[in-house]
Amino acid sequence: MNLDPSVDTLLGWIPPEKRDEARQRLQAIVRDQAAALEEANRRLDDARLAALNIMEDAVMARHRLELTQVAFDRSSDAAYWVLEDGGVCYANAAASEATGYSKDELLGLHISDIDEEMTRAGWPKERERIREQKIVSIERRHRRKDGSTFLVEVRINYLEFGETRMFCGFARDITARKLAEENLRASRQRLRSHIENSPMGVIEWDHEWNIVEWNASAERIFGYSRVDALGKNATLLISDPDCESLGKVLSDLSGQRGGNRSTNFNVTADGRTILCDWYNSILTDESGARTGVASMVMDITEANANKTALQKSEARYRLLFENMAAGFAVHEIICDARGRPADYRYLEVNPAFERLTGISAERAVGRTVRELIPDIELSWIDTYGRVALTGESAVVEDYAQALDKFFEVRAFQPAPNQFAVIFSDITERKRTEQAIQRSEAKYRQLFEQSADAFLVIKDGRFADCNQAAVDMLHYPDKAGVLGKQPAELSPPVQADGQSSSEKLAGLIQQMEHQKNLRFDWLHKRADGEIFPVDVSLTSLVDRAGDRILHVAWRDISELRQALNQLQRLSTAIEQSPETIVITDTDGHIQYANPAFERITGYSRQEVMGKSPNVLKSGVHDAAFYAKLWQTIQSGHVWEGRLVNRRKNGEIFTEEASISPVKDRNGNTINYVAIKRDISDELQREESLRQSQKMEAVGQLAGGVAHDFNNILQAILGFSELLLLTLGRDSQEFNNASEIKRSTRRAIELTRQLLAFSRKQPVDTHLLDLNHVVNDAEALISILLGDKYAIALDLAEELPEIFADTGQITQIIMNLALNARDAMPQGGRLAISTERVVFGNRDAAALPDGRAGTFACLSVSDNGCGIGKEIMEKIFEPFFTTKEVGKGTGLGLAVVYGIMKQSKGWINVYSEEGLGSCFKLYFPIPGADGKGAGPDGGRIGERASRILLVEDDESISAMVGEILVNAGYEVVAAATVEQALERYGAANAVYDLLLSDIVLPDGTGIELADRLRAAVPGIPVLLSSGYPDQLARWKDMGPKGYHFLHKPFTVSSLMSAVEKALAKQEQ
Amino acid sequence: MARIVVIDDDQSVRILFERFLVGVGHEVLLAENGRKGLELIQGSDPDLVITDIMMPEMDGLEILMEIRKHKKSLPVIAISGGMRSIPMSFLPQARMFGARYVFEKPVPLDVLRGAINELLAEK
Repeated sequence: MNLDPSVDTLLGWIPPEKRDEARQRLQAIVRDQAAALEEANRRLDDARLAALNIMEDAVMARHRLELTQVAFDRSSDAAYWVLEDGGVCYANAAASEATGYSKDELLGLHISDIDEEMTRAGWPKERERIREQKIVSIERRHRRKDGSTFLVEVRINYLEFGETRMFCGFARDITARKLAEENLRASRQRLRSHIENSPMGVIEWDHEWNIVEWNASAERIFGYSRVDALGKNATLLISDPDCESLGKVLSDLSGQRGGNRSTNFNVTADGRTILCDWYNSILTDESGARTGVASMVMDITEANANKTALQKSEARYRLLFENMAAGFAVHEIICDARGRPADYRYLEVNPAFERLTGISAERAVGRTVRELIPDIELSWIDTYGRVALTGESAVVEDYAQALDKFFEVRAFQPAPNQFAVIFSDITERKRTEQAIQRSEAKYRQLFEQSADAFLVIKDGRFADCNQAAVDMLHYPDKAGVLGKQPAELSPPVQADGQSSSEKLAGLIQQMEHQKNLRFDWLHKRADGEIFPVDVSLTSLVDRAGDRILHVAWRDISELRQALNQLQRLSTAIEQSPETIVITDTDGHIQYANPAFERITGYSRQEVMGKSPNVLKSGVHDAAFYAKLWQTIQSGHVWEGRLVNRRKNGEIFTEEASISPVKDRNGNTINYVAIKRDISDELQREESLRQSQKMEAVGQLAGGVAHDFNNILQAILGFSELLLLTLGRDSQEFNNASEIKRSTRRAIELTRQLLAFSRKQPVDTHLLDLNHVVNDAEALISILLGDKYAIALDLAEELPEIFADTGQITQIIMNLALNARDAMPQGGRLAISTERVVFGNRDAAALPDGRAGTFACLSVSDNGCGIGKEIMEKIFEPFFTTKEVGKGTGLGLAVVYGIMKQSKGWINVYSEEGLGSCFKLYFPIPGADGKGAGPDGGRIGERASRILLVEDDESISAMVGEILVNAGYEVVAAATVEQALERYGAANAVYDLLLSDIVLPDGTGIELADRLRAAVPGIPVLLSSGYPDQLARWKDMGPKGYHFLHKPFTVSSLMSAVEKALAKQEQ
Repeated sequence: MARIVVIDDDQSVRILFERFLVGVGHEVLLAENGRKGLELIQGSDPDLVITDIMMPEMDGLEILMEIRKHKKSLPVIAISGGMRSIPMSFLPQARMFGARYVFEKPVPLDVLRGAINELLAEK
C-alpha cells in the first residue's frame, strides 16, 4: 500500500529507528483504512451481492475516505504535526494559507515561530502538559509570516508512535469569532448601559408578569428599588381594577409583532397615580417559545398635563385671536437685494384686523403691503423690518389719515423675518385725552388761581401746590413747599395734644380705605406761625396710575375765631343770669335761655313758638303793651319795667330791654328781649331804705342819747326823790309814781331805739337771764297788746351768763315781735329759761351746738310757723316776710349776731301752721372755760401788744400809761428807725401800730407802709394834731389805716384803739 | 356819813345827786368837769367818787386813771349817759380803769344807793 508522498516526508522526521514502526503504524492506519475500505468494498460486494442498492453505500464510503483524505489536507482548520522538539513536521494547506508560509516553509519552523505565546524554552513544559492530558484545547495567538497575529483555537492530540511522539494540532482562526464575541459583549454592555441609563423605565417580566429586570428609571418612576421590585408581580404597579387588562396586554402582544404601546394609569410606591406610556414587546427563546415581556415605560403625567394645557392654551389663543378686539396680523418681511426691508407680506390676520382696517383677510393674506397700500410710508416698513430682523419690539401710536383713526400698534417678532402686530383703535382714547388735556389745562388754571390752597401729595410728599398754598404757608415760592412732607409743615403736636406725625400716619392709613376725608389740622408757616386749616383730602389715581392725595386747605383762623366768638357769645347767652328771649317778628318765641327757665319757671319746650303773653301778670294795661310793640316795630329799642307772672303764679318785676334784630338789608327779622329779674333787687332796695331810715333814726338817737339820758336821769331821779318825801297815800305820791313809770318807758324806748340802730353801748357783764326776761315782760306786753298771752317759765337758780343786758333785751324783743307777726289774730307767747347740759352726742345732734353747760332761753309761739323753704334764710340780713314798712329784715340777723358775739347759738324749731320755737344757748362762764368775759386789751391768752411811736415824750408817756391801764402791752419808740428796730428786735407779734404822723426821721405813714410790707394787715392807728394831715386821709383810708385826731381824750383814744383792733379781728 | 365827790357836766344830774346824797346823810362835793373834780378829790380826801364818763376837758376815764395813780383805794362809781358821736364800749373800759360800779344813765336812785352803801361798807 502506498502512502502519500508527503507521508514519506513526514516519516523523514521520525528517527530512523522508529521510522519503520511509524511506517508500519501509518501503514497500519492506512492498512486499516484500506482494510476498512476493503471491508467496505467487501461489504459493498456483499451488499451488491445482497442488494444492488448497497452499492451506492460503497461508493459513498470510498468517497468518504477520499473526503477524509481531502478533509485532512483540505481541512479548513490549519493542521500541524509537531515533533517532540517543537518542530513542525506537517502542515496542511489551511495552515499555509493561515500563516502565509508555504507548506515547505512551515516544515522547518519551530512551533514557537507560529505560536506567539510559545517560546522555545517554554515548549517542553507545554509539551509535557499536553502529553499528560492527551488532548488539549486551547486558544492561542498565531503569528503570520508577515508578523501579524491572529487568534486561533487549537486542538492538540498527543500521539506516540513508539519512540516517536507527535503532537497533532488543528488550529482554527477565531479572529472573526472573537471579534463577533467582543462585539456582542460590547453590544450587550451598551445595551445594559442603555437600559440602565435609559430615561425610560425598562422592565422585563416573565411569562407570569413577574419582574425580572428593573432599571434605574423604573426605580425613579415607580419609587421601588431594583431589589424591591425584582420578583414582584406587575400588579404592584397597577391599581386593582386594571388587573385583568394585563392578560389582555399579553394576548394582544402574542397576536402581533413588534410589540405594542399602551397608556395606563399606574400606582407608585408612595401611592401616587401616574399616567404612563408603555412600550411592550414579547420575549421568546430560540425555539420561539414565549418567555416573557420587555417593557419600556415613561411617566407622562406631567407631559400629559402640559400637553393638555398646551392644547387648551392653543385653543384659547386661537379663540382669543379670533375674538380679540385688537387687530392682529402676522407678516413676513421682504428685503431688497441689499438685505434691507422693502415690503412685507400679510400671513395671517384676525377678524378684528378686518374690522379695524376695513381690509378683508381674503384680500390681505398673501399680499404685500405695497400691493395693498402702494403709498405706505417707508418708515413703517423700516420700523417693522427692524422688529422682524432684530427681534426688538416696537410700540407706535399714529393717526391713520385714510381711516381717520388713531391706532396704537405693538409689533414683535414671532419668528425670524416675521413680525406680528397687535393694534387697537385708540381714537376714542386719543380724543378723550385731547379733551382731558384741554380740561386739565382749564383745571390747572383753576388750581393755580384758586383762593383756596390746593396741594397734591404723592408718595407722602407734596408733589404739587398752587400759589394760594404757597401764600398761606408764607413761602417765597413753590420750591419751599414741594418735596416736603405734611409733618414738616405742621407743628410737632396738634390741638388735641397728639403728635402730628403719628396722627398723619393714621390719616394716610385711613385714606387707604376712604375716598374722602375732612378734618381740622394745624399747619406751620415758613415763619413758624401755627394756623388752623380745614383739610379736605381726596384720594385719586393720576394718569400714570399712581395713587395721589388731593389736598384742599381752607385757612380757618378767622372762621375759628368767629366760631369761638360765637361759642363765647352762645355760652354767655346760655349762662347769662339775665333772661334772653328771641322771638320772630310775630312775637313767637324762638329761643329762650336757661335764665328764662329759671326765672319764669317755664321750660323752653313749653314756650317755644308761643307768645311771651304767658307771662302777663295783668298789672299792665293793653295800652302799655301796644306802646311797647309800637316802639319795637318802628325799629326802636323799648326799655322799661315789666311786671310778669311766674309759672307758679308769683309776681315779679323785670327790667327789660327789647330790641329789633335787623338783617343786612335793615329788615327786622327777630326781636330780642333781655330782661333782668329785679324783684329781689327791689326788695333789697326797699329793705335798704328801711335800714337807712333806721340808721338815720339811730344816728339821731345816738346823737341825742347822752343829753337825753341826762334828762331822763334827772326826771327819774327827782321823781324818786319826790316819792321818798311824799306820803304813800297822797295823790302827789301817785303822781310822782306816774312820772317815774313814764320815765321808765322813756328809758326803754331810748334803749330800743339805740339797740335797733346798734348805737347801743355794749356793756357785757354777768347777768341773770331771768331778770332780763322779767324786766322785758312789761315792754313786751305793751308791744303785743291785749290779744296775746305771755307765759313765762323761768328756771330757778339759773346760772348767770356774760352778756349785755340791752342786747339780751333786744333779742327778747325782736323774737317777741316776730312771734306777734306770726300770730296776727293773737296767740300765746311763751318765754322760758333753763339750764342745759350737752354731752358730745347731744351737741352733735344740734346745728351749731357744742358740748357743755348752757343757759337756754326759749321763745315760742303758736303762730303760722316758718316754711322750710325760707328756714335757711331767716337769719340773713334784710330777709323779711313782712310787708314793706313792717320789718327791717334785721331782727333775726341782729339776734344771730348777738348770739355769735355771746359765743352762743340758736336752734329754731318750727312747724308750719303750728308755731315756732327759738332756742338760744348762752355759755355759762367757768362752766366750760370758754365763757365770755371782758377782754379789755387781751387777745386770747395774752395782752394785745401795741407799738407806740411818738416823739413827744410826755404824750408818749401819757398814752403809754392809758394803754397799760387798759390792759395793753406797750412798746414805745420815738422815730421810724427806732420803731422798725424795736419791731425787728422784739421777737413778738404786734397787734397794733399806734404812731404819730409827724416823726423826726419820716412819717408815720411811711412807717406804716413799711411795716405793712412785712406784716400785711397789721392794724394801724395814726394820730396827728395838724388839720392838714386829714387831707392825706384820702390816701390812708383805702389802706385801712385809722386816724385819731389830736388832742384826744382817754375815751376817744380807747375808742380809736378798740376800733382799729376790732377791724383786725373781723 | 361819808364824803362823796360827784363829777358831772350836767347840772340837773349834779343837783339830783347832791339832793339825793345829802338826803341820805352824805357830804357832797360837786364838780362840773374832770379837772375840777380831780382838784376836789386831791383837796378833800373823799370816801367815794361818782363820775360821769363822757365830759369835756377831762373825761371820766382820765379821772379814773389819776385816782388809780394817786388814791388807789378810793372807790369810784362811773355813770354814763352814752356817747355823743362815736360808739364805744366805755362802760367796760371804765371798769377796766378801776371803776367799782358802772351804770348807764339813767340809773335808779335805789340802785345807786345800793352800790354806794356797799362800797362804803367795805371801807
